[in-house]
Amino acid sequence: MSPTDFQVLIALADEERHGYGIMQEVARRTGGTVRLGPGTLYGAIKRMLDERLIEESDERPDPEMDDERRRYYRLTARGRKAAATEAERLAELVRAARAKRLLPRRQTT
Amino acid sequence: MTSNAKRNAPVSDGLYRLLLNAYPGDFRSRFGAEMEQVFRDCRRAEARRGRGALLGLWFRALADFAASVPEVYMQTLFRSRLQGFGPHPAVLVMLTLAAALAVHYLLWGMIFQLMYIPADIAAATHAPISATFLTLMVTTVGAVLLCMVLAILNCRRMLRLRERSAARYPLRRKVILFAPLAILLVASAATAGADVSGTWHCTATEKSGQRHQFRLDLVQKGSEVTGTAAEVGGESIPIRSGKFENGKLTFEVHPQHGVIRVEGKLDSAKLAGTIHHPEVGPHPWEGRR
Repeated sequence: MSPTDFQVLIALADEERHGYGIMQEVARRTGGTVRLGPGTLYGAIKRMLDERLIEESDERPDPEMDDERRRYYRLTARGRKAAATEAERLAELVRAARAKRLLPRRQTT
Repeated sequence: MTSNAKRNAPVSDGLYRLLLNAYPGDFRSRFGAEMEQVFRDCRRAEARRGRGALLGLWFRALADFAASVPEVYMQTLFRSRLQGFGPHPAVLVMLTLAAALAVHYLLWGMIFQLMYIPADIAAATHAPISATFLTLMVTTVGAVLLCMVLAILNCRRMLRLRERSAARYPLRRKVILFAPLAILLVASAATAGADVSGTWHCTATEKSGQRHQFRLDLVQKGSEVTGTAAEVGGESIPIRSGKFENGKLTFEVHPQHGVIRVEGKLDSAKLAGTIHHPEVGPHPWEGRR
């Protein structure tokens, strides 16, 4: 799974969002270090729609920014599972990096 | 938003809309309006932060554009293949390469026809850079650029055709699509079998090692070749039964001591082959324009 796809899946994990909402969420969560452009974002959205990891939603959860051109996207069960698997894989890598002292060990309370 | 930013907003949005045309048609019709809307949202947000932020947005948008267009094209091509219609992407790549070679070969062939250029490029690179050599290089770069444009246009056309129908598109459309490529290939082949008209400075080497220099002045009409052959300092003798077919030149010369048959093959700017002499026997020769 590409980093962009994973970022989008995480952005959609808690709520349905439209394209701009996904961009804002990714930028907010990464402190502005990852800023998806429209081409990259919709390339990922198309890919994940094709793979049925996400789907379009008919609901309009953000009435303030409502516009019929805005489409909302949400995770499918398959997408949630794929994101969880990827997160687990990355967590395993982080655990390995900690074991090799590439990262400081977690402080136990 | 400053009044300047307000004034420039339609230009900015219009430019972005123009860029969207580079994406494949089905992607554009599915996501184009959304992408435009997202860009507009970003532009509004950045405009509040000043001109620098707007420039930054455009910088990011152009980088995003350059990275995502090829990716989306590849995605669309391979996805269409997976859905079971249309030619294999490898066929597209091969066709594009064939077109690129054809254009390149055509241009080089034309240059070789128009002026004398050593076929051996290594020799050319040792020579001082001449206007001819520069022309050759500039034309080569031009050919490569042309091929890139051709490849993009061809892919766009192919995708547009696919979008109209999920079934195999009809023969007529295939003809429209491949005709330009076929013309290029035929033109290239025609250049490859280019005519031998012109003045050729030739050298023949006998078995004894003795060398003779002579000149050929040839005129080709269709596959028929006429003209004269002359040893350096000697008189010109008309050639007979001259033919140039499938890259192979044959003619005869009838001096007083018998019939000399000459065969040669054209290889870019070089003619080379065998002279069948009634007294000396067969021996190789080669000539350059």
